[in-house]
Amino acid sequence: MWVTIGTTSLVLAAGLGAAIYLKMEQIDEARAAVSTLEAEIAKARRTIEGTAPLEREVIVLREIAGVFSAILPGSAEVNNLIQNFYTYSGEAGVEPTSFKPKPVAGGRGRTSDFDQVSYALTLSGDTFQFLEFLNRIETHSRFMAVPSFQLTSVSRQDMEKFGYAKHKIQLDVETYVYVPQRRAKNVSIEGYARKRDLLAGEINRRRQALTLSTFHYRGNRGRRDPWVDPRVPIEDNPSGLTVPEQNEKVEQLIGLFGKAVREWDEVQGAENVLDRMVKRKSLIETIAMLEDELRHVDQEGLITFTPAVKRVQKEVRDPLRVLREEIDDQTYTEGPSKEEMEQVLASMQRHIESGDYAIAIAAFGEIKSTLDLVQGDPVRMVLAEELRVLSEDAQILSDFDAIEMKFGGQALIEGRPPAVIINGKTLSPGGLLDTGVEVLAIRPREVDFAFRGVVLTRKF
Amino acid sequence: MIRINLLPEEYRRKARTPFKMVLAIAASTVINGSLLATWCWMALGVAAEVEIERATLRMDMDGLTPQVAYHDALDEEIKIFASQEQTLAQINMNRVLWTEKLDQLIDIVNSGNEVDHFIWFDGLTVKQEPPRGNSTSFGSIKASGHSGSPKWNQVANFLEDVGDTQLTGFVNDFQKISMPEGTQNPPEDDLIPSVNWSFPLTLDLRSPDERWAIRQQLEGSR
Repeated sequence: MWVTIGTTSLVLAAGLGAAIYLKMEQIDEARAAVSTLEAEIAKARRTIEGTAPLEREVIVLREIAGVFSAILPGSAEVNNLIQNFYTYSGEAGVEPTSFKPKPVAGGRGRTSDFDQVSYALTLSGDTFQFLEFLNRIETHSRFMAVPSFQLTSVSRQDMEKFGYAKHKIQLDVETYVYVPQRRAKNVSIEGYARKRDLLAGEINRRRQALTLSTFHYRGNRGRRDPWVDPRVPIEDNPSGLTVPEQNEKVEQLIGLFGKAVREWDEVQGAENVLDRMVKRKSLIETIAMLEDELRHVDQEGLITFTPAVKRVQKEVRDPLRVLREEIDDQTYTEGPSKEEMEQVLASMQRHIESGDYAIAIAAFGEIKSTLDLVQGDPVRMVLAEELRVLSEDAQILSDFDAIEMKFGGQALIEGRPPAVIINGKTLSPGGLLDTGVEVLAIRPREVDFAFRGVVLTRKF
Repeated sequence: MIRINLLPEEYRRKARTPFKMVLAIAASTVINGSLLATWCWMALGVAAEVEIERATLRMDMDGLTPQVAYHDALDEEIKIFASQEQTLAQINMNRVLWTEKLDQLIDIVNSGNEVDHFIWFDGLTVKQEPPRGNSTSFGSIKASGHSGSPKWNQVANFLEDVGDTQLTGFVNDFQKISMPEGTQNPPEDDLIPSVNWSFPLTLDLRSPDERWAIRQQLEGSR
C-alpha cells in the first residue's frame, strides 16, 4: 500500500513538475519572443521616424536627377565632341593640327555611373583665338573640362614672317558619359506633387550646386597678347610710338573700317532712295576719313611693329579695297530707276517749297552723276530733264536767297515812279541792286527782282 | 513480536487507515495539488498573458512592416541617386575655368601699361592633377616670363599685381605664388627695350574644396 501510494505520488509529482518545467520553458520562449518583438518594434519605430526626411531627400534627388543627363553626354553624343571641336575651331579661328582619344590614366575610366572620355588636341593660333576656343569648350552645354594644356609662344621670326601669332597649343579635353549602372526603382510617394512644391527651394539650391559654372569671355578688348614678344626693332620706329600705342592705332583703324562696313550694310538695306542717299553720304565720309588716317599712318610711319603692320594690311587695307570695289560695282550701273527719280523729284519739290534749297540741291547731287546713264529711256530722260531744271531753280533760289538785302524804306507816290531803299541804295524799277539783280516792280513791302532770267519776289 | 487481537469481532475497535498513511496521502495530495495548481496558474495565467502580449506585439509589427519596407525602398533609391549627385558635384567642383584664369592673367599683364611693369611670356604650362605622396598641390600653372625694363623690381610689381584680389580674382584659386626672382638676359641693342629680365611664374592650385568654398564665399558677398 505504502509502495503504491508512494509510487503514485511520486509519479504524479514528477509528471506535474515536468509539466510545470515545460510550461516555464514555453513561457520563457514566449517572453523571449516578446522581447525580440519589442526590440524589433522599437527599431521599426526608430526607422520610421526617419522616413519623412528620407522621403524629402528622395523627392529632391529625383527632381535633380534630370540634371545628370542634361549635363553629361550620353554614349551616342560622345562622337559629337569632334563635331563640336570642328565648329568651335572654325568660330574661334584656331587651326587644329591633330586630335586623338587619350587613354584614361591607369585605365580607370569609370567613376561609378560616369565613364571618363578624354581627348588630346593640338592647334595653333593667337592667345585670344585660343581663349575663344577654350571658352566655347568650357561653356558647352554638356560638361567638358580642360585639365591641362601647354602653350608654346610663337618665335619672333615666325611672328615677322606670318604677321600674326601662331602659338602651338596642346590641350586635353575631358568629359564624362553618364552610364547608370543601377536604375533606381521609383517608390510611389503619396502626395508627391504637393511635397515637391514644398521643397522647391531646396531642389533649386541643390540643382544650382550641380549647374556648370560659366565665364563670359569678352574677347581681346584691345589688350596685348602676353605671349607675343612686344619689343620693337629700333631702326623701324621713326615715330617713336610704343607697341601698345601702335596697337591702339590699329584698333582705331579697324574700328573705323567696321563702321564703314556697318554703314554699307545699312545702305544696302535702306528702305527708299532718299534714305539710301543719306546713308551713302555717311558711308563715303567714313571711308574718306579712314583713307585719310591710312595716309597719315603711312606718311608719319606711325605703325612699324610688324604684327601691327600685317594686321592693318589684313584687317583694314585689303578688305577696304574689296569694299570699295563692291560699292563701285553696285552704284547705279544702269542709272537710277524711274521710281527713284520720281522720289527724288518729289523730295526736291517739297524742299524747294519749304525753302530748304540746299537739301534739294544735295538730293540732286546724289543722283546727278548717274543721270547720263538714262539716255535711251524716254520716260526717265524726261524725268532727268525735270530734275536738272528743278536743280537749277533750286540753285537760283538758293543764290538769290543768299543775297543780303537790308530794307531801308520805300516811296509809293502817285504820279511818280515808286522807289525803294535797299542796302542804303535808292532803287526804282529798272535799277540794278547788284550785278544781275534788277528791280522790276515795287509794291508795298514787296519787290520783284529779275535774277538770272527769273522773276523773284522778296518781301520785307 | 506478533500481536494477535483475540477479542470478538464486535469488541474489536474499528479498523482505521493508519495515521501515517493518511498523513502521507495528505502530504502527497497537497504537494501534487500545489503542483497542479502551479501548472494551471502558469498555463492559464502567465502563459496566456504572455501569448496575448505576443499576439498584440505581432499585430503592431505587422502594421509597421510595410512602413519599414517603404523606408528601406526609399533608402535604396537614395543610395543610387546620392552617389550620382556626389560624383557629379565632385567632377564639377574639380573643374577650373581656364578661360577666366587666362583672361585675368592677360588683364594683369596689361595693367602694367609699360610703366609699372612690361611683361611677356615664352610659354605656359597648366596641369591639374590629384596630389601625389606628401604633396599638397592639386596642379599648377607655370610660365617663363620676361620683364622688359632695366628696373628689375618690376618683376616684384608684376607679382604684386598677380596677388592683388582688387585688381582681378586670378589668385583666388591658387595657394602659393613663386617668390620673385630674375636673371638679366644679354642686352639686345636693336630692340626697344634692349634690356629684359627672365623670371619664372609658378602658382600651385588650391584643393577643389577650397576653391569651391572661396567661389561660394565670393558669390555670396556679391
